[in-house]
Amino acid sequence: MSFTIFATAIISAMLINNVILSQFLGICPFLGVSKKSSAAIGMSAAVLFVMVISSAVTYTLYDLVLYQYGIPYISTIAFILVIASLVQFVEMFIKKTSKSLYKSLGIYLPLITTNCAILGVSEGNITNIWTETMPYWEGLFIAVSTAVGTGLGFGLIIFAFSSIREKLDASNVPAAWKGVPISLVVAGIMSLAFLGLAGII
Amino acid sequence: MLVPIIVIGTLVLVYVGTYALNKKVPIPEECRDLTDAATCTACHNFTCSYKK
Repeated sequence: MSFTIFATAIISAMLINNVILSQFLGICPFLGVSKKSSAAIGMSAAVLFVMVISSAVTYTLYDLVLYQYGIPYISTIAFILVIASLVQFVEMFIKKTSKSLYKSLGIYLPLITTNCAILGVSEGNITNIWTETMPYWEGLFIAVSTAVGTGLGFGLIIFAFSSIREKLDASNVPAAWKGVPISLVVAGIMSLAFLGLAGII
Repeated sequence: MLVPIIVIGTLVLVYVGTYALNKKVPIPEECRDLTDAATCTACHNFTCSYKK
């Protein structure tokens, strides 16, 4: 049962409701950090890492504090502060504990504070998953599963996009289309392609 | 009225604390040249510790 929930949440968040191509969140790193596939992999790993932790923390904060004290209207500002603090903490922790991990993730961690996909997933968990009657652990499990799927979906798209951009750099593109214009056309075609996956689940 | 102020105040303090702690921790020696390798132009994040 729990595996089914986990698998459904992951496939749904990764392919059907893809955070970039269907929800149009995280466009900033999608265009800004997709020039090289190595940078895209680093960014994806950092996003996945922070997305999962922030989803768990924000869901817990909402369920145990904001809802209990009748102040759910401050959820957005509270989530922003949680994500910003978490990014600082994770960066500090990685700096101290793992130099190799810091080498691959470190530079991309501060960017995550301004990544709206992280906030979007946290808000989405509350809007789409959280209910008054749902047990805390069950909701937390679905929220974390959704975050894993969303992070993987983000990684899949940004890596595919960066690979296409690398190929485009070596292609004979008309001068007026070089750079961002052709990249946006590619993004549009990818979005249409992903539309075909709607209805799988 | 007091509860939201306390919650937001606490979160702001947590953020300031983690920011100050993170600034105190030095970047490892072998990771100092990461800025040039990343060539990130995606954001204007004022908390980014890599900005020169």
